[in-house]
Amino acid sequence: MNPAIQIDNGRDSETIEEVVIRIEGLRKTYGEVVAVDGVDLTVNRGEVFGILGPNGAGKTTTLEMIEGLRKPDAGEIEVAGYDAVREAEDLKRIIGVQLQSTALFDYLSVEETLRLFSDLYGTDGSPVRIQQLLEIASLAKKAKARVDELSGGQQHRLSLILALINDPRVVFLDEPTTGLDPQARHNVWDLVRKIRDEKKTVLLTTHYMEEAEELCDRVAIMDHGRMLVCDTPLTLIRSLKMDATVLASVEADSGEQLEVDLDLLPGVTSEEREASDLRLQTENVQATVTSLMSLAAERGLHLKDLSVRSVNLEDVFISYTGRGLRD
Amino acid sequence: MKPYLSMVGANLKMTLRNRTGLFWLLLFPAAFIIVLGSLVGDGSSLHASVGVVNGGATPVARQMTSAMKDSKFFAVQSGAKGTEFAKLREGKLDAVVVFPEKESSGQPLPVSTYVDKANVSTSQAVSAAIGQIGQRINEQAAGTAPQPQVVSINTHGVQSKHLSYIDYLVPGILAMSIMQSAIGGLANSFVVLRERGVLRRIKVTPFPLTSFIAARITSQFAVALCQAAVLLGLARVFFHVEIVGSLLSVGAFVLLGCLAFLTIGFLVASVSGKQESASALAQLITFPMLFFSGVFFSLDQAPTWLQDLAKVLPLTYLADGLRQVMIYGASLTSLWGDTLALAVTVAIGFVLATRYFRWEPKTS
Repeated sequence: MNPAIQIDNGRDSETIEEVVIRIEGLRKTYGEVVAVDGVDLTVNRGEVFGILGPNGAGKTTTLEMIEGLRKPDAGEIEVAGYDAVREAEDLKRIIGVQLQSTALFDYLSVEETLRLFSDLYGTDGSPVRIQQLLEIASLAKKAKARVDELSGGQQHRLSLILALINDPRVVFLDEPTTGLDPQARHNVWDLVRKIRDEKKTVLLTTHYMEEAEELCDRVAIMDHGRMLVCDTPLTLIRSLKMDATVLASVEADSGEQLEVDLDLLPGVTSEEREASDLRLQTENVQATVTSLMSLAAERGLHLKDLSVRSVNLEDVFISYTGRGLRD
Repeated sequence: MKPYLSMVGANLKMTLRNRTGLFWLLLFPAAFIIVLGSLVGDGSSLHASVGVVNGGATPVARQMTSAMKDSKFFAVQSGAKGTEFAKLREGKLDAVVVFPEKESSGQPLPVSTYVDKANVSTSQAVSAAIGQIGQRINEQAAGTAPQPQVVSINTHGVQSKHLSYIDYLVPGILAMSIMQSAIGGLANSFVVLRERGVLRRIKVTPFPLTSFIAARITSQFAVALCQAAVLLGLARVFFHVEIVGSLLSVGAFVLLGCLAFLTIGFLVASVSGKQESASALAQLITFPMLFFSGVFFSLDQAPTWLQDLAKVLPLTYLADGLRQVMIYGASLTSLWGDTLALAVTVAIGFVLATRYFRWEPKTS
């Protein structure tokens, strides 16, 4: 077993960031199972920070220890100056939480739910604030609808704005789009961007790469209870020293097949073929594409649907864990 | 305080909007009372036959007796104390009014009214009517200047052989409906809130979960009092079932019973992982009580083993307590047995429910 992997990004950045969440040596076991195995993490003020990992990686357990729902076995958690274990009650007032299960009271309306939680937080649930929240979640027309009459996406959005009802300094979102269709997912993403625009710090977990790339200023990749790496999505992708994936399908005039070993083209690191479809990974997209074009011209081949896909976080995840996120 | 009241209000709103729950906690028992009540009819009449003892002994007694004779409500007859009492016990008279043989000067004349405990509605009317006559005489004597009373009236219940069925049934049905909603209703909804993660969502707010429980208990109290008001109101309007004892005593028993069954409800919720199992377990607990606690029929004639079984069921004590207060006007202190039994249920239920309590879903 390795000692905990130290992740520290504040030090090499030039600007002085205000640290809002600081976690050191966090550990949690359930019987024999080590759910969280020595996690260190810092999140700066105003950033959207994502913990990316497959199901069972320990993301939710980590988040729930910060929220005060679970007690860590070891380690320290400090959020906005509060000790998350010893000062959990004070901390609750300044954080907003969306849990993985977004169930609420079925028989209350959207507006009543917001007002109830506003009272539970002891904040003034002013009609203006509630209206504002309803609008950013596009739920204004549903204010009088009962929670059990909402669609899954609407319930998600309601539980998201509930996380804002106390005007929190830090917002925790646990898999905010899991189980949503693409349209609903994009709506939630818009909502998260609006939260960022309110200058709140957001810590979210997800197992969708696109989500992490779309929303997060920084991403930590987590697997088997450990943080493997943590940086901006761009830096992580660049660190792979891989340029892109080139995709094309090949058609020959005479029905002739492409028989060249494409591995030999400049820049190509790996090659996959299925019937006429090509998939090349390259560390030099320009050289690879140029030589592929001239090869096609020499042999009288037509390249159809030529496209270049840049490297994404999935590739990063695979390179660190040796398997796909959805495996 | 505001978060707490807000939670109580939300609980009540949710109770009102839950149609299925509302059916079981109000409509079902109301239907019971109306159907069974219509089958047996009510025992009230527009006239009351009264036996007067020593009606001519003193001037005030003569004045009151003639006032009663003038009233169309009363059919008055006179006789010796022993014979009039015998008639009352046999159900031939509705009340006996006993005047003292002599008056002591300066003291109000102590008049004792004895009414048939079993015939609650008539007894109520009789006491009220005699009370009015006494009050009128007091007022006439007082004139304009304040003076000591000339009459003071005490009402006593006398146990007759026959108890009308509706009078017996109504307190039992009320006890039943309180039990159903405190055990079944609470266990069901609490398991759902816990297993679907709503309790966890409350847990990340600054609102303490103990306050959440307290709000739950408070709203269940309000529900139980509403059940009592509606069911007793129905029984009064349709079947002239009156409450002889104090409303406060009825309320106190309703709340004590509600609390006892709530602790059982929380216990059921704690040991059940799913709504279905909570519902099944709640039925397993409430069903035997429905039949073996003397809710629908008296267990006086039942076999000894059944009577012994009834003695360990908390519903027996709630039904009996409510019945004693409503029919016989018993005071809380005289019902210490029922009170103690329910208090013991609260204590045992509380210990067990706390022992097995869970905030977190079973699956996590």
